Amino acid sequence: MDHSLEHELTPATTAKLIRRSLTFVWPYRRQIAIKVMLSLIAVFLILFLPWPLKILVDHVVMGMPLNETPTPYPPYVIWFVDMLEGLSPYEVIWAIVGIGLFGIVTIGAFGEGGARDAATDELSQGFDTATQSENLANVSNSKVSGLLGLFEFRYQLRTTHRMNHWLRSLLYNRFMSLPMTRFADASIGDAVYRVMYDTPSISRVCYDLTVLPLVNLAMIGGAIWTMQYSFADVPSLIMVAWLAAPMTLLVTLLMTGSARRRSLASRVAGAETTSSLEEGMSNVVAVQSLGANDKQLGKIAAGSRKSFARFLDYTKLTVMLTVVQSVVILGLTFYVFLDVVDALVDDRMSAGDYAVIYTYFFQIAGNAYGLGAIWFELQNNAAGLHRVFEILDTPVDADEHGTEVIAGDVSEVVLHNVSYRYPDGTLALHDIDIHARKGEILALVGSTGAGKTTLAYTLAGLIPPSSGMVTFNDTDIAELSIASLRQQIAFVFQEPFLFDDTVANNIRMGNPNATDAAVEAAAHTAGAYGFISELPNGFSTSLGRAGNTLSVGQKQRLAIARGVVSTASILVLDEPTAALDPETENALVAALNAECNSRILIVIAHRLSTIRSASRIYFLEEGKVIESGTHQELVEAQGAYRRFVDLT
Amino acid sequence: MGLTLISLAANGIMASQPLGEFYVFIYGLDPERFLSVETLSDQARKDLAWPTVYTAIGGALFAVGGTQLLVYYSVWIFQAINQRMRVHLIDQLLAQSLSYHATAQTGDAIYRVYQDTAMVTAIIRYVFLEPFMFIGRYVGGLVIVAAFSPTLALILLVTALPMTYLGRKFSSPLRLKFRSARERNAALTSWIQESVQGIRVIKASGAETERTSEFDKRSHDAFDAAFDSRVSLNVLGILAFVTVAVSMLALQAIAATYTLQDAATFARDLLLAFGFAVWNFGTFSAATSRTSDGFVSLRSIMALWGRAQDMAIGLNRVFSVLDLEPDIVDAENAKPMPALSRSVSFQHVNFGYIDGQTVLHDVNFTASIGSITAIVGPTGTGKSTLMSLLLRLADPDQGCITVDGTDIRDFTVNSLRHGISIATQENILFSESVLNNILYAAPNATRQDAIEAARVVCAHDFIEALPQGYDTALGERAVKLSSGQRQRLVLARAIVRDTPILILDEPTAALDAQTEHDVLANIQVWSEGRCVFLITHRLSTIRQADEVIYLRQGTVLAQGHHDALLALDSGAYKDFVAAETGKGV
Repeated sequence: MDHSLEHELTPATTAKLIRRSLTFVWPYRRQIAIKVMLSLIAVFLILFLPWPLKILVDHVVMGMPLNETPTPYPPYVIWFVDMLEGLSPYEVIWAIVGIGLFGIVTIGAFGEGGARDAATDELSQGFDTATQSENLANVSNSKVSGLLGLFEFRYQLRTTHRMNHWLRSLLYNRFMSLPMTRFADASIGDAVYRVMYDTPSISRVCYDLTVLPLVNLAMIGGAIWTMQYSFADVPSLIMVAWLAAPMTLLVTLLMTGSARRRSLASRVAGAETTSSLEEGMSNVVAVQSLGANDKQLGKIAAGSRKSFARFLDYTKLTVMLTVVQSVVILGLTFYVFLDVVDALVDDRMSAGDYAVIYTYFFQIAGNAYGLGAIWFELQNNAAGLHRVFEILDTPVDADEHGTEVIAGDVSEVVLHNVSYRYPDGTLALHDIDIHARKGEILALVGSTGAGKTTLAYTLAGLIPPSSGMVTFNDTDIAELSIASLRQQIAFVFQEPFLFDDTVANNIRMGNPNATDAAVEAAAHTAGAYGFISELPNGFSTSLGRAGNTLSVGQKQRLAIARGVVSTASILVLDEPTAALDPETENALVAALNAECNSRILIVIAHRLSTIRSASRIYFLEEGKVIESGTHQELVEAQGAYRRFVDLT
Repeated sequence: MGLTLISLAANGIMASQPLGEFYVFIYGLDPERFLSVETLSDQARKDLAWPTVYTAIGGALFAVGGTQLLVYYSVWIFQAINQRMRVHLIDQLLAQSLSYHATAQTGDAIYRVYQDTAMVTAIIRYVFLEPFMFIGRYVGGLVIVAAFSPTLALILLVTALPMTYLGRKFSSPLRLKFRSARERNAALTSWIQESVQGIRVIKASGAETERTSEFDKRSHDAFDAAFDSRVSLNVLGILAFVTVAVSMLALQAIAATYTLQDAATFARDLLLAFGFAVWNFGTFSAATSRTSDGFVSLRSIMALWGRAQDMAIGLNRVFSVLDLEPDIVDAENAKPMPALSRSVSFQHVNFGYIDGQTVLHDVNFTASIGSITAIVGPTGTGKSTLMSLLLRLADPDQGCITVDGTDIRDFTVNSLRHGISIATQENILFSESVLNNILYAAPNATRQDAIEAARVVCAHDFIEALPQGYDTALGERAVKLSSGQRQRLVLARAIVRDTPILILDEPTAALDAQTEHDVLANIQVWSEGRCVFLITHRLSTIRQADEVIYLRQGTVLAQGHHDALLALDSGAYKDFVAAETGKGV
């Protein structure tokens, strides 16, 4: 967990994050433009909505003649009023029914009744950031329903999904190409959280900054303009119309700072809970056999409680915000009401205007709140942005690699003065010089913690040396492209990891083009064929999570088969035999010996039977090579290696 | 309250109609000016403004305050419920036996805990609380409108029919779509998690591209499923709206016609007091506002219905976990396990993870106190399984395991596991400090105990050499430590618990010869008065054991001290030793 997240993001950082998010809009500029157009059509229709109702009230219910209205109809309604000229009240009712039906079908709205997106009411919203951000990825923010609304909904949802998919993939890709050392301290739950739950923040911010302000401003503008046109005789109305927007905005903005801090905290706590949960589940064997269920449970429960508590704080603030805002809006409403009563009695307005005014004020306040909420939402999402960009900005392997490609096989590997220092400063390798040619078997030997595995990682280009250089065929591997480098290497790790896939596919990871026969042959070599054929579906058996149904030795053999099936010119086996019984190991070593003239084989081992057949042994102690030579030479030298052998 | 406002504002102020007796009484108005006149004077209309504002302010304060309190309260209460569900769910998941975890995906577990418990609280709110509110408002609207005009009430009532039809028609497809959306999301989460966990293998095999393109596909799938389900929900919402809106339009048109005819309202005697005896502007406003309230309620119920389909899926997934009986439960009369005094014994034990597959076959042996028993044999032969049975991570299919002559199934699982320590073969460390990792399962042990344990397994020196010694934090995969170092921490974790039974699964696989020798020598001293089991195939380790159990394909082939077994002329054990020393090849 990155603790810098706990700190407050300054407005400047927030602004920078937001600017950067906007660069993600560019590829979707067309979709955004269409969305804006659709929304503007909706704005126009919503402005038109209350007028037919006014006609119904004034000219049918109140029986006022059409041309005697005290307030002028705005230009975009007058055509409809002209159409009704000379019709009987019953005919007017029919005309309004007609236009009502049209409205219902096209925009799903009617009279002063709310025109609203039918599915915006969030699905399955939980009181935690995970579910909320999932809904972020699935909103349409359509202002209308009906056919237009359906079209807009589908269009917007597709766009949001495409954008989110793109972002998710970008982040996932980045995770896949981060240096291995990056994962030393970062937990897996955190990674999942970033990919799944933080990415929707970006699409949200993009939408909030492009479509939403335009539409909100258009709505407010349209409403104010119409009121000035029609209700010029009631000055308080006009004044309040102008005031409503800035006042609502001000109240909203006043309270954003601390709200954002809480939301950030709530998010961090969310990721922490996911982490401990994930850790508990994937290590369930250890948790159970140590009798630590209660402990693990307590830890997760505490984390979850913390994340809830933070969310509750956040809710408290939202509630306060809403109350303050409601008071402001109500105050304005009553002030207007008193003035409108005068206007009504003095015949400066008609009864039907009432509906129009209230719809318009509702729209002005709602949209101003929407504008204020943009800032609120932006701050809220800034945390997510920060967490996403943090990953996008971490240097990846490829940044430190060139583009050269090795044609054919690697016939020589040389390490020149290689040292490696962990990010925390521990020196793990110290001035290592090693060389290997095609056809040779190298054995790396030494006590635990001597640096054998780190050396093997460096040699395979999985971690870059802190100083010195690794060359394949005289080319510095830093000059090679990642793809070309990986192609040359097969690595069998000490702790086997299997994927939730079939046995055959797990082996085939080493070489996607391997035939079934090659996969089976590799399984034979690794001593895995026997137990695989006893599995319910043989090679097509699906392994559970991390291959839980297999014993460690069996997993190890599948991992070895994965290395064997690969045609890479360098094969590294890190303690391949720790979990193997001697019979299997001897068979494996014999098989590897037989094929080693086509590759370079590097083995880390403890067992003499394995070490003995090596072309050259490097004996490591505290990150340094202290002896090297064949088994015979080293035994005769009577040094550290000899002492090691005598103990075995 | 709503009707009062309409009466004052619409009837009185806007339409200059006299008020009903009821309001005149309530607001203490002059009946001469407000009740017994043909139309209200302009001044009377203006005088009505303030009572209207007071009433509205009262209503608004009540509504805003009430709703906001309710929001806060409901967040609080639903969180409490949610927390309980989560804890219960995790408890349940952690308690499942290994056979369950062998098939379940971690990502799925996480998804269940996070999304699906939220679902349960949502369902309480949406399915139990809100519908009652909406139904109440619908029925209320119906009654009031019936007083104005039974015809209008009938329209309001009949509208419920097509709504019910829509609900029935949509529920099954909606459920299917939501289920698929959830499942795909869970699958994607698992996939990401596995990718990060297996990152080393992916990199080393150069499989980044394949992983990424597969991710692409899965992410697409997940979004497509989400799209499908939400568009369906949207269509349902739109159809429901059209139904409601058409009815509402008809209703308004009819009400407008009534006002043209100055028709009398249905229950005019009753409504007279409120000023709604005749169809006029006030009556029109009151009737339409009540009906639209009824319609909105109807539509909200519909929306809830659609959402409930999604929730039902979530609920189902939560309950499927909560309903799982842990495979291993305490026997009815289970008692705590007493201190070990004699021996641990396996009697005719048979076991298989899946029906029909035997992992252990008629295993029989006794390990007495103060001895080290080595369990030896080829990979996949059931050595670790044998020890899982002792821990009751699973129960034997036949036969039994006894401690001092009592079947371990008669002890409580908790006391049994507290009496046994195990150092597993997979060196699992948690993302905490070194000290906390050692003390992970021994909450009462002190720092000094941890240091003692670390000394036993020769880990003290390298721990001291770490940047912050015992307080150095380890990452989740603890990659900074070598395998041998991690193995020793795991050993220390088992030792520090100071239990009568100790199981070491391949304790020395990752250790070099010197370290192995030292560790074993220390453990031998430490094992006095305890029962120690070693799973291994290293000769150097085996030699230190008092008794060797040689397992092959789940059957005990040889049993006795290493030297005694070697002294036999022939046998499987001899072949095994030959292979180990490399002489057999």
